[in-house]
Amino acid sequence: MRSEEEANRAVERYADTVRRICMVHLKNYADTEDIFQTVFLKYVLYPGAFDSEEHEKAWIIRVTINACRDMLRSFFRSRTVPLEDCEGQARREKEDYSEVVEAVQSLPSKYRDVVYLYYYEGYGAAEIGDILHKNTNTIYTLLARARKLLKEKLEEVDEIE
Amino acid sequence: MNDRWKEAFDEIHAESELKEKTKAYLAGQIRCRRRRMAAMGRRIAAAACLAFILLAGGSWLYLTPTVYIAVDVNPSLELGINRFDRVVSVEAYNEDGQALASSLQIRFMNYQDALEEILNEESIEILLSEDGVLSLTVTGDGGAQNDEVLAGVESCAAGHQNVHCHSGSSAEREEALEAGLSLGKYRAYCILHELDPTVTPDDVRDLSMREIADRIEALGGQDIEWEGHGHGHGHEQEH
Repeated sequence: MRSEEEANRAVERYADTVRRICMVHLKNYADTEDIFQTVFLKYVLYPGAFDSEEHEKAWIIRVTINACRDMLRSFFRSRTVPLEDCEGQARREKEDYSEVVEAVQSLPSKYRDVVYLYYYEGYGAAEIGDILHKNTNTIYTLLARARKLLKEKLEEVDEIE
Repeated sequence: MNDRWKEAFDEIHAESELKEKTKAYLAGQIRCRRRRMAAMGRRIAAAACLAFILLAGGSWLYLTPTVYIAVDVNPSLELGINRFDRVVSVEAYNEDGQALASSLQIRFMNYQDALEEILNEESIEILLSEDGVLSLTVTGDGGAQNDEVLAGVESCAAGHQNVHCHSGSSAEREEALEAGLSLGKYRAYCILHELDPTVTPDDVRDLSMREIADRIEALGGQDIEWEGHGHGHGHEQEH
């Protein structure tokens, strides 16, 4: 088990990355808090060593994506509505992010990670395949379809390409 | 990477409150798990100690003789019997005893079965049939097990000729050990020594019980107790 200092260092270093992935997938802040706790607790309990910072970051990204998927699939979540949605008063995700982020959020979930990892994190198709445990050709296919969908959502699609 | 994508996602940061909350949660989890691990470690250590104590205690209980049976013909042996009536040690007191001990597989056997093995051993049977004398002497701390083992030994001896049973005290056994003799032979030696003070334990160590009895008789001593008993069994409780 890692120390409190290591845990704090990881939070400082990867909090923004985890937050961005949560932003791509989740709609409410309470879920984001849960994901933060889940991801960083897994990091604390992970017994293995990381070869490099890149390796560590890729591990955090993979765990975050899996945690988001698990949350979206969970029995409880699929049958309940967050309290804040009902009351309309609680804190909600900001809605004034750029149209690029909104366009990504509006994509079917299977395209969101690929688009985020490719365009923002700068990973190649092979690296994305490793992170998502998918074939490289599948990544290319997902990217091509995502581009097509983004074209419809963004006026300046030529800039994206 | 396209600048527009970078700008768009660069806007997104984890809130300080979220980071602090996560750090506090992790700190709590780490401390809680460390406490649990320490408690688990203590429980494992305690269990290991208990297992060790049980194992050591069990081994001690099982492997410590509480009663001894000295077997004297010419081969002289001493069987250590534990509180569960099992043979846990076989001590030879002379060369013939050594040869007999190595030809038998009686360790951890019930003492009655072990005695039967000894009495049915070919060389012993020949000695007894040729008017040899076999002495079985039970010593212990005088508890109930002593009497039970003596009764068990007598029951084994009942089916054989020239086998005599006695009981002795622990103190007497200690004296015999100091002389390097098994108890049955030590008793015979003491009688002979009274008649001939020049006799030493080494002189009798390799003599058969019959030979010692004959020397006592030649020196005008009384018949030692087994004389005339046939396959009976004399008792001589000494404490």
